Amino acid sequence: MKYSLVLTVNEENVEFQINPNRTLLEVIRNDLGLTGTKEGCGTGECGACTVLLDGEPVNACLTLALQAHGKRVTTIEGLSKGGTVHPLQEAFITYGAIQCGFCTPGMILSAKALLDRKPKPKEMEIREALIGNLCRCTGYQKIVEAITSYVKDH
Amino acid sequence: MMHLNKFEYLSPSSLPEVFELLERYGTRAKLVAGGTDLIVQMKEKRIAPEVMINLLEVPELQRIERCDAGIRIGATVKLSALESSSTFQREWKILASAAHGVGSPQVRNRGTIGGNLCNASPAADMAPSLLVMEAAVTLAGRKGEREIPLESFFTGPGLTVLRSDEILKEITIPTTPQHSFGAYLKLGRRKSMDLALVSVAVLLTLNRNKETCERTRIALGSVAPTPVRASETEKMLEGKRPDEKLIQEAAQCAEKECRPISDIRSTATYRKEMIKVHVRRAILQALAAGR
Amino acid sequence: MSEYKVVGYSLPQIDARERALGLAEFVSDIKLSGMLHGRILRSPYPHARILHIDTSKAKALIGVKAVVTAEDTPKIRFGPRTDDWAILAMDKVRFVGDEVAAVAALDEETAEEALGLIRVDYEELPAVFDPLEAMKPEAPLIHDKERNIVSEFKLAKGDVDQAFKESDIVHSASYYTSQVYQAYLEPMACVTDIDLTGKLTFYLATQIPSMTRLTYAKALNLPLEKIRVVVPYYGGAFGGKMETNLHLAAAVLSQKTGRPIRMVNPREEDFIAGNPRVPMYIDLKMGAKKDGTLTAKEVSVIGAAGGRAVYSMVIVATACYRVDSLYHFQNLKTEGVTAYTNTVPTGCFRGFGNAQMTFAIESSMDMIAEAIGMDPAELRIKNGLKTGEVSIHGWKIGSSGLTECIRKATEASGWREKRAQKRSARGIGLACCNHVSGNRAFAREFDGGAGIVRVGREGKVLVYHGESDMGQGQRTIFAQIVAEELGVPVDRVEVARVDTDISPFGLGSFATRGTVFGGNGVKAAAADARRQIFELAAEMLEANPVDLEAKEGKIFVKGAPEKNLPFQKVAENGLYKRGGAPIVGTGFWVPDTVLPDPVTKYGNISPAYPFACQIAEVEVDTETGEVKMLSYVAAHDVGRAINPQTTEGQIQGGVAQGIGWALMENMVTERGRVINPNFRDYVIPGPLDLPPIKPILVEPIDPNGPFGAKGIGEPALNPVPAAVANAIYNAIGVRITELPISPEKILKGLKAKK
Repeated sequence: MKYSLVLTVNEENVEFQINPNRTLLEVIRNDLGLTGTKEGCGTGECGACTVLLDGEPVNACLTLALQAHGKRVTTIEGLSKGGTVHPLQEAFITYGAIQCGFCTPGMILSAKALLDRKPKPKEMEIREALIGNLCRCTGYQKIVEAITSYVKDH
Repeated sequence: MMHLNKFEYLSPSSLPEVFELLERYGTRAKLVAGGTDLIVQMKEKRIAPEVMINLLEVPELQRIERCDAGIRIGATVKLSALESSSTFQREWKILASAAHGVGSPQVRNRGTIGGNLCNASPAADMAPSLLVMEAAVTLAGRKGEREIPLESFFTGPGLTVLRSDEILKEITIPTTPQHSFGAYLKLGRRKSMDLALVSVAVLLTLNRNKETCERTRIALGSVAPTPVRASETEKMLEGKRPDEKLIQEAAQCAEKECRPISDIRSTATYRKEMIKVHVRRAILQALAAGR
Repeated sequence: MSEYKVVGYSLPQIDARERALGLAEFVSDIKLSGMLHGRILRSPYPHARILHIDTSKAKALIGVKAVVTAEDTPKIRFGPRTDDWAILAMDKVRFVGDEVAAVAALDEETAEEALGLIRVDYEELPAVFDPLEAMKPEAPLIHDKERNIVSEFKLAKGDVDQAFKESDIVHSASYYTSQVYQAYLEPMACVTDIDLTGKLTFYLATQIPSMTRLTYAKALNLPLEKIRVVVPYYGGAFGGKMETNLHLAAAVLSQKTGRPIRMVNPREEDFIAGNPRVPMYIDLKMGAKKDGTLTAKEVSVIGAAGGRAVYSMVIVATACYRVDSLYHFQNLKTEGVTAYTNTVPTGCFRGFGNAQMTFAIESSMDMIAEAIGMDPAELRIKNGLKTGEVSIHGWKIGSSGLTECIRKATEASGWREKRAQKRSARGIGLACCNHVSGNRAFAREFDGGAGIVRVGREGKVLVYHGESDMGQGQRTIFAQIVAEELGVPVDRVEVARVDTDISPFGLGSFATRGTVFGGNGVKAAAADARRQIFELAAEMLEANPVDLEAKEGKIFVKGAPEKNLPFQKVAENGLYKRGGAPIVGTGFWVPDTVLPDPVTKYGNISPAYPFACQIAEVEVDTETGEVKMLSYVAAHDVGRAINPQTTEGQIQGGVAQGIGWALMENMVTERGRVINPNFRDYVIPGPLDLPPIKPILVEPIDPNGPFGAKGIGEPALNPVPAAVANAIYNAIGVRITELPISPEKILKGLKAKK
């Protein structure tokens, strides 16, 4: 039996008829074709699937799509709507915070959520905000430096 | 990708609706709140419920309200709310600390206090601090409500006294007695997101002169089939002056009281040793907070 | 300040934008028309005979388009280096996770359901899990061989027994390096497609696009030209993404259905059927004089190959003798054995055996330093190979920045002061390493790099190479090199994705060869393009081609800068003059390296050798055994850093990975089954587990590397476990010789000391 799912994704209203056993991650990647949100583990450990749900970072792989019904979803594609790159993304690019880039969308969204809550975080607060986002390429250092630089410049 | 089994999904908007569904579906149904434990278990094929009842649209379960006894927290209050609440940081500090230590921000933005307790892991992050605060849980069903001490809620790894027609409705925490100081310590395999190898919560209520422990509450996680109070250790300290020697003895007593197992994360031997170390450290930290 | 215009600058990666925006199409993002979803049925037993497979119920499930077993393959035995692989198990399964059957369905959910409907009757066989046990003559045999030995390595030079007799100190120790998982963020993935002629296109996360074709052509019994490999963006590899049955099973499904197949490992399967690091038992005996001169080294290495050989025997061989060219040695005796075990096949992981041996030798060096009362840093400087020297195996050290690395690292870390203080439970430890930039011995056929550089009418440059960018920034390095050669800004250069139908045959990204081989290859191609550009420009400027130079997007006459033309104008004019043909430069670079002698191993196998010195500072909680990383300095001899920021990022990532290996990572197995196949219980470092990592770039300018560059990928990790172990020893006097250095081991060590 299919259920009606209504979401606002990157400020656009979308509607689907879906089976309830679909996760928000599946709907984002398969039904909406937004593949910026990645699957790294499927069990909420790596954070590659991080999206903002009503502004808060969550693991889309563990969120039933129907439980997001009526909510606002922001994916990485939503940060650069209309083609303008978000300054936080610019900071990641400039400061070498991206290597393979698989963790990057989730990492940027977690960072954005932190900065929306707390515009001038200290380094330890930045690191704590990112513990749900694993990175294997960078050792996190340039990611932290990119965010710190962004904070200083804005 | 690991897929969830097919299930029927229901999203009641009131408690009476929830109770009706529980009566109808019984053990065929699972209640889902944040899903951060449940969905993982389903993906790992440990459970495959036919029916999922979503609790997140039930307003009665989302409230935080002061009451005569202290404060009531609805079962689906998110861990992120507890972590960031200035009320809890001020008046029930170790609860806010415990919430802060759960998983990652992503997990805390979905995970709920009720879900953490009902999942009933021996390592349940919220249990030790709630135990030392002598919290009570209200279990509710169509037949009515019953309030029991949290201590009596857990019966084994993943097991609670909840009947198939009941839900955990709210958690009631008494006002913290005056001159009380607490500490919560959690040991993991790394500092970033981890499950507890051992965890310790301590709440010491000192006398007026802050010299003796009028009341001691110590709870241990991950070292028994359920989160437990270290009652023998508590007795050792009550009414006494907590000097270095007594604290050491108390730590050794806690080591003897716990019954950890060896599993993929750690050994029983290491866990026992760590209980000793962390009970001592938690007591010292609580006392330091009192100075 | 670099002496060049583009090379030597910390430019942002040329594809960082796509990745930051979430627009980069990774292998697991690819969607082709008519694409089906594949999954693999894997063995639940470590060793069993397959009696019967019944796929009928799975085939009947609605939405299932194909179910294949070995019967649907050519049933050829193949392998990257041996012949012990089968695409799908033919007679036996040899590890938990071994591929038995594969399913293609309309969606992933149906494919997963179909797996549960395949019935396999197994007859369990006795199994063996430890290489020491597997080596014994009475062990159950895993392959059709007399013993479970994949290969043996023997090497002897000089007279170790005599040299030990003449030594002032002889130190022996046994080490164990654990089997760890690369933990790249994107699991193994592929999309295969097939055309009407039966030609397969593989969209692969692969480090070795061209070499993969060779192996897969054999496995599928197809002519090489029927196999095309395309390399999209992919999420990391660290050695783990070479040949894999995942790709071949998908190909068989494409053959069966005539449709594209997408196959992505669920993370759990990636753990149990990936290519983790070769675990090794290392017995190391070293002799030295009291002035610190090393006299002799005797070592035995035993490594586990797992259920089939990926590259483990090459990795064991590398462990056996690569460090011989880190220090001056005259007397050596080395034995290595690689044994089959009924465990997940082990493969390449950053360091490739040299990482394992570096843990052993750098731990032993520290103990020797202590025994003779010498500063560990001075001991390394004394024995380390210097520029211009030739090692005992004939490795020509064109440049060595090792001494400078040691001096800079010790200065930056406060080494001297911290070693002199007595700081309770705090310690500082040092470790060095050597490595190669490419390895002639890896592929018998040839060694070298090639490139194609196309300059179109707009003056936009497109670079073709045959290597593989797994996120380490290779495309950016190539773009910088080509931009420098052509005198254009780097944003005028694009690097095409590798497509074996067009790209040169690149051996691939391993052995830290990308910058030197791929870089020199595209550099040569750019030089050829520049030659053609100068010919055209010379005519337009009425000058001699030898008098021209290219910079800042223009072609100038040397000494008469007012005579110049924009690069784009020359390219456009050239195209119009020559019937529309773009300028295409091709080039290649073949170093004068040699295959090592089969017996003596003598021969210069690499054109450039990077070195490093890393210093770790730790604080040990002596009650819990937890190790806190306080600081980390990593000084790396990179020849020249084409892009300092990219190089630093590689160093920091390698150190982080090494810290994980040293302190917290462990694949736990029970009867051969990995019982922690997830990130919940296989913990890797998170942002709170790492110290600030200070990279220091040492640039001796190598004679062979492009613009003097050497490689960085693997040296970034090699010294880490020893640096950490040495720091812990300095802190609490406990020497741990088994990885991981867990809190339990530290507490045990402290207790034993009392």
